Amino acid sequence: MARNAVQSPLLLDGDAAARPWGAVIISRLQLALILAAWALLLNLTAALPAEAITVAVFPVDDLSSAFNSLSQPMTEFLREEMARRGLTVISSQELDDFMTRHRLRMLGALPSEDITAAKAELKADLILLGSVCQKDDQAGALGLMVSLIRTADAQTIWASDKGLSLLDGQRLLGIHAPTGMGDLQGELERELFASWPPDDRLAAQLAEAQTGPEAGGGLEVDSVFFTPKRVRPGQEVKCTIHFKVKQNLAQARVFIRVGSRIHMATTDDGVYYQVSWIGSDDKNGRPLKVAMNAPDGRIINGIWSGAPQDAEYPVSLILEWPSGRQDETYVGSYVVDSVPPSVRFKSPEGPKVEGLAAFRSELALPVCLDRPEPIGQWEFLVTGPGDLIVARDQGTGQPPAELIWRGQNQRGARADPGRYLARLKVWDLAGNLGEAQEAVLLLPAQPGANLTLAGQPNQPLKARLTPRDGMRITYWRLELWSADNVSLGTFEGQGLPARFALPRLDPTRSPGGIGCLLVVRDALGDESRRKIADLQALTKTKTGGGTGKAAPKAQGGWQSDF
Amino acid sequence: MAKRFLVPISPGRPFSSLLWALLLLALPGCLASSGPVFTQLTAAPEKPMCRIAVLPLLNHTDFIQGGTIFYRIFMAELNQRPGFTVIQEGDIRAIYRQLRINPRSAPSHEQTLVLADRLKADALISGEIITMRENRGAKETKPVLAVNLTLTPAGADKPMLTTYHRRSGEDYRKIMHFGLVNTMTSLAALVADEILDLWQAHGLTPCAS
Repeated sequence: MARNAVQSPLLLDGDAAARPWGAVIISRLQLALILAAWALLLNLTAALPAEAITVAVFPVDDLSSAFNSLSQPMTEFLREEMARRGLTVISSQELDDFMTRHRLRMLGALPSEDITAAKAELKADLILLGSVCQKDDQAGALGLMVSLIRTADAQTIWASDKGLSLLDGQRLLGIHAPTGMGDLQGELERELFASWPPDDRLAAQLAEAQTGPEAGGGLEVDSVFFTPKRVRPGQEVKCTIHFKVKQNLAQARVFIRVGSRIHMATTDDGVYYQVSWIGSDDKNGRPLKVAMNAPDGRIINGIWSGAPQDAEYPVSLILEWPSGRQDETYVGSYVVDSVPPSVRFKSPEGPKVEGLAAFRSELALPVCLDRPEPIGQWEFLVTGPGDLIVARDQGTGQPPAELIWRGQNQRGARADPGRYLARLKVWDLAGNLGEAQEAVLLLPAQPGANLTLAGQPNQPLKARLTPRDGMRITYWRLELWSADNVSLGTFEGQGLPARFALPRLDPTRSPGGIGCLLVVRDALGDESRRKIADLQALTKTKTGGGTGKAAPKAQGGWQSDF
Repeated sequence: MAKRFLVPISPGRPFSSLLWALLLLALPGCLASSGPVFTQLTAAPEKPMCRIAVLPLLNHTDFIQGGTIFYRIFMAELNQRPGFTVIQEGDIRAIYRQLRINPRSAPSHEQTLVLADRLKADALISGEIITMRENRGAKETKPVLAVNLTLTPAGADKPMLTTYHRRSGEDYRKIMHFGLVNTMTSLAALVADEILDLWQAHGLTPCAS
């Protein structure tokens, strides 16, 4: 009964004692065979042992120092870590040769092409890339980032990052607290690889590698140039595409897609491809010339007329292979633009004379683009009577937000007062011209007033004060002084013209003559003054510059007052 | 008239004082939990974003390699999330070379279209590192990190999500020195994680893994 208690439940017949010994032996042999077969089956379906997985540990990029610095200790640390986890690590010498062969100079990153090459040449299943994010011996900090890449499809299947500081390890009474960078590295290793996939999961992830669609037959566009990139309708666009293919290009048909149209390029000699294209505006398009004149890097030169509609036209390169597969890659776009830039001067601030912006020292003209767009170049002109160019400035790119004219001509001398035309021309990148203009009035450098005296000897004089130019006078003052500096009277007011009567000037009371000081301020805020040594000499004589008779030399001119 | 105390003296006061002190110590850790500031500019596309290209980040900080440090940590954090295929940094840099884009400058809109097409990416992540510094004290180091990241679906005219996120190691303090983040690496990983959490809640949908 005791034997019955331990018998295998696989025995169909529970009463083994009732069966002959031979039958029991056969049953046990069968059981062993079943178990062996089961074990074999399990073994076949089980994951690959870790030793069968090969990993290439690439040099670790040290981001805590200069650009592209190698961290040899961390590289060795990762190599040992991979070996400790049971993976077969590719030797440093093999790796160095591979990197030299593929001209790999940048650390911490690899293009897919080189990752898949590592599978073929190094027989590596995995690639481990690492970067030291932080390493500060003084502060006791260490940071590391690692990623594990499957070489079969260049996919990252595991990644981890961790930063540790000695300050993180502060513990009660300091027990087991890390004391140096060595301790920190040990702790970092534990935490960084805490999420490392177990062997069976790693093997399963390797088996999951997807062999995706072939990447465009190896089509690789090196460079694309559009000259020009913005065109006016009907203007030629030249597009130069430099590309490489891994397969034999002679087998492929080359197409260019411009907007919604596809043009096939044909060739006679394998060097030049041509395609005819009729523009949608019913004009005969220019043939598209496609030149291929480099053995390894192909060059395509395309020339076609700009499409009639204003729009951005995407351009793609299409290769059609005999298998029917098409590789299409977007190479850029060009813009057809027929609209000239809308530019204008914002109305300058300040008072106006005869409806024109008037100024004495400088005039600021704010520039406004109604429809902001890139500007290729601009030209600013100031023209005088007879379209004579007085001042000129030009530049490339966007025009200044404000253009300033200081009333000077091209030689730097002050231009004569009068009417001028300020003009701004701007050309957008397609060459469309936009223009703005503003008539301005240049006033004399200082405000002034004309003083006229009329009257009989020994009679009170009648004075008349009128503005010298069109600018409004906001304040004036006239002071009368005797030769010995005794004030004889002051007259002032706001606005001109003004008429007033001067007191009778008695020469006997002021034998040295009666002097006068005239002060005016205009609406622009400019103020000037003028001294007249002998007012009697001015009787029936107009004062003011440029209005006929010259003032007596002793009287002097208008002086700016600031 | 007896004096009136705001806090009555009682036998239990020393204990309650201790509790108050502990609460006050814990308060900064509770208050400093400001999340990322984000703007959703367009609706999320219907199809999931399987292949993600993280473009080199612009670095406006004194950390010489600050852009690359956050870039690689962000890539590692993204790789740890199921359902995303992160395009290799080497592939992105190769196309930058082909298009003659300086990794220290942002690509133009047209260049991003070309990048997305060549990399067969469903979405592009770009951005800049605004602040990256370590304020060192006698007994602790306080890293500070501020980033501005943008998620743009491939072929889109404008970004879908833009996010500004600023964090300090101090923000994670729970009580005394517990919870403090002392390394820039850890802080960068936390910042990246928080941004990705936010994005996944607002339209960054992974593929079925």
